[in-house]
Amino acid sequence: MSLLKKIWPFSSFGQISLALFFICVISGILLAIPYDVNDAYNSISLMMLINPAATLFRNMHYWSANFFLVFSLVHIWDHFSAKAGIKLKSGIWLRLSIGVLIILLAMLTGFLLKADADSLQARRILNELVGGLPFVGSLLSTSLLGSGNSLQVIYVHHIATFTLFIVVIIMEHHKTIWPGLKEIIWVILFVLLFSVLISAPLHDGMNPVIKGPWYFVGLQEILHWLSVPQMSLLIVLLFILLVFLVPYGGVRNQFITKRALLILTIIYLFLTIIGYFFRGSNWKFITPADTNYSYYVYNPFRSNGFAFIEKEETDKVNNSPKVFGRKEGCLACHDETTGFSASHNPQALGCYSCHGGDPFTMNKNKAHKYMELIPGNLATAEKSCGTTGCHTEIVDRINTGLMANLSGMISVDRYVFDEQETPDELTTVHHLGNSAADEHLRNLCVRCHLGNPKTETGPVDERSRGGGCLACHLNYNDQSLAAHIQHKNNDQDTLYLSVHPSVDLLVSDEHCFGCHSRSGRISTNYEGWHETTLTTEEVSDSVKYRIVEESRVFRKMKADIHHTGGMECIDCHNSYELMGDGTRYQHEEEQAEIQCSDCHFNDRPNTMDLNEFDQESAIITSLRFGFTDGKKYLATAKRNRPLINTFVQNDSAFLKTKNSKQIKFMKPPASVCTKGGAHSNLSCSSCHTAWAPSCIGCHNAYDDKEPGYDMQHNNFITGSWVEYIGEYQAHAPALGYRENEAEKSVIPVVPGMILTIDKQSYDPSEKDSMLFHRLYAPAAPHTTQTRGRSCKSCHNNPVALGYGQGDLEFKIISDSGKWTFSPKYRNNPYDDLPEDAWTGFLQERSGDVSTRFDVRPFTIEEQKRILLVGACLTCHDEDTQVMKQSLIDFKEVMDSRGPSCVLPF
Amino acid sequence: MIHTQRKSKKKEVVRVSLNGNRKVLFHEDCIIINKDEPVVLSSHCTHLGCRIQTFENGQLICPCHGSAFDLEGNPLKGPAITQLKKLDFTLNKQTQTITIKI
Repeated sequence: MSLLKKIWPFSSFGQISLALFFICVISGILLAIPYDVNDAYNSISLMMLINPAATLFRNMHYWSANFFLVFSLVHIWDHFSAKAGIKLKSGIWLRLSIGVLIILLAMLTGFLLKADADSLQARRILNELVGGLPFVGSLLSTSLLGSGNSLQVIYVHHIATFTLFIVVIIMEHHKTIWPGLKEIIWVILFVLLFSVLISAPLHDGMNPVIKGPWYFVGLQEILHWLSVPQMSLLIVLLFILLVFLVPYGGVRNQFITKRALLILTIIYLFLTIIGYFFRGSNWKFITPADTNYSYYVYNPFRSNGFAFIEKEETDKVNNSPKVFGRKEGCLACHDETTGFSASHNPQALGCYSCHGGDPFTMNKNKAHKYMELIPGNLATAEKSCGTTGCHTEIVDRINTGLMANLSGMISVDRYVFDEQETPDELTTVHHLGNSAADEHLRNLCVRCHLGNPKTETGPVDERSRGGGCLACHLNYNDQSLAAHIQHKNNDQDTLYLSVHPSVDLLVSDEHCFGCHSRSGRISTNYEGWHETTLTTEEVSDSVKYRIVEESRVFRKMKADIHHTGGMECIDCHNSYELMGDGTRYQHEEEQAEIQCSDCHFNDRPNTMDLNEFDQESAIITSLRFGFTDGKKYLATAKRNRPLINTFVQNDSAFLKTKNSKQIKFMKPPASVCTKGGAHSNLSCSSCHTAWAPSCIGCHNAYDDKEPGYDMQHNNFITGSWVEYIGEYQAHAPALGYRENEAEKSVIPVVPGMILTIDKQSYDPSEKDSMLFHRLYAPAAPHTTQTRGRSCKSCHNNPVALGYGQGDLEFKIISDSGKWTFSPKYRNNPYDDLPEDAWTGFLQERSGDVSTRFDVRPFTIEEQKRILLVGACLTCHDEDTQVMKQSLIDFKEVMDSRGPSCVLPF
Repeated sequence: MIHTQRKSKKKEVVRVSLNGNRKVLFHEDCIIINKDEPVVLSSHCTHLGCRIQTFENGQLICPCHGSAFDLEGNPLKGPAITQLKKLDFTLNKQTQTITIKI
């Protein structure tokens, strides 16, 4: 303190405090003119938008008050540490000690008079805190804060009661209210500097963080830990009492009191730092390493951008709608923009709630400086789509979904690269390292995730990857698309500013296509397109072929029956499957909720009333279909969530498509599906899948000269993993067996990874590093056909049995039958199995066989049972009575067979 | 500028449309849990009266000090330790409006 005093150009800290108080009072008087106590928040926003002088006075009022508090405390401490001590009469010292509390109350009432989100909550807290005091609580609360929502009483206390008290105590101990000229000049310059650079805070009404003024943030932190909050008032009283007691008692007592005061102050400062810098929304602990940290901590403060305001602009602001209780500058300029969905009407939401920026300025550059041109990217979604009162819950959980974290894909890739023990580790695309697998993922796989930001305006199309919320919810109509194209061709064209694309629930298949036309190719399968290795020059038939992304050639195949029937992806897949449900899943089949049997059933369906819906499903139902009470909705068997676009009527199930609103009757399964129970452990898709794409025999090597792309960071690089592909095929899929605690069933599988990986090409220190894997993967091909596969398609098909393509023949020689198999492809030297096989003919494979631990090829015993029926089908057509009877009682059919029947086993 | 003080208008009764199918409806002084037998809770956190207006992961969360409550108003996470106050209301099923006494 003494060092500070040596370099300090002023006579005392008290003089500085007095000058600050003087400025505070003068600026307060000037501020009172534009301030409207009955429309406080709005009147402050208007000041910031169209009244630069009032804004400056408000800033000066704020900064002078805050520095007055600081310098008053320093002034007191200065006297505590002076050798002369405090030589005031007890009465004056008592009033000065109480004056500390009064200064805090004057400032707190000033904080309340903003009437923004912080202030409204602070008022509720004060009301409860003071009102909860025994005996005098109610009286004290009404006297201090008034009643209802009116700020009148608070205003009176702020400008009169507390201010007068401060004036009186200043006069009592200092004898004059006038500060020295030197102090006043320096302090005005000091306060002006702050006032010009940084505005007084005003909550934007959207930021989820609720914090008190900085000097009470420590108290807020204490209250976070106190279940009996009135106890906190004792801390305040203790502080005032200690201040009062300092001059009394002997030297030793004074020392103890001052030390206690110092310790209390240090603890409080520590708590203030925690509360101010390390608490975010819902008072959750955050650190500067967290994303959007500055948004949570510094948002209420804004840099100033003073400018003279034209009358025309003033009129525009005055005529613009009031949004969330205040004006925002955006709507004064962008007042004729159209194209919004009803849910995102800017007359109700403004522009700021999605695009950020600075709503409290008419300075264009300042308003746009921190604006999100393309909101909804996951890195910033909590500031836009996930802001207060909007879609907070979804943004909070979206990263738990596989479309955002890619955990399954990453885990399987690392497993195949022998970098982890199982394919089931939970991870995220944001935690990729530098291993061979992670580089492989970065080069070839991880571009498709919701967190991949959308960086350019324009509609979502087949080239789009990710884009956060907009990946699914952005829609351009003819006008907005034309305006967008015009702007792209001529950046001076501003029509796009008046035709906004819509953000809505019309999630079409095109939104899914960009990502889902790759890897499992669900989108293309669904529409009936199979990717080939042809080049664009080789095809000319636009009916049979389709060019995707300008170079990928797809051949026309049979489309999924649901697609043909007019259903889109979202007619089956709900918001929890697509945006995560808060639970981490290892693989897509675990996250997927919908099952065929939810809609196609013979027994009593699982139904739900509207009042049993979860919040999100209820809202979406309301938005899509209006008020729809009184219906029986189907619910998923897996997680008991409603299928909001279904209903059950007269024991029949119907579906109403979400976008086109067509009503579809949903057929129950055919009788053959459940006949006799012979196929009871077959999944629906194992029979009803028309075809599935597959590729076999690919080789992966790293080429350090290959021009590549880092999909995680979106930049071009030199050196990349290269995939030398084998052959793309499309046929009815192989079948495998999934066996875990919840499920035992035959499922479709495809050769997911029959490949070699040259790890040494990436890391020369790896010796004998050529990896070979023969893994099949469970598939959800999305090529459903009404009629199931024929019996022979499974029982007499080497592909279905996992042997790969070739000739599977049942030969009868001399009254004895024998199955033989000649593969189409040569045996792979690594394991002596045909290139496309999953298992050898009548051989058994286990262990490292699939990209899932719970999926395997058929055992020898199972193969024999399948082939036994296959042998029957060699002579007996599947429509014959004997084959139909075999579904009901196979043993009886076997026992009653004639001497001409020759069996293989 | 100082305006003459308006007569304080204490909200005695609030009439709210159940707004279609929304499950949790936030209003200034109350939270309506819209289900077969609706529940109306005070939006004032029992810890210090902050307005609760967030529904996250099936919980009602207080923004000021982080208390969490279930949809019956029971405290799940402190500092609040007492249940949110249940408010009296009448439900008009025909007009789908709920009248709450605050």
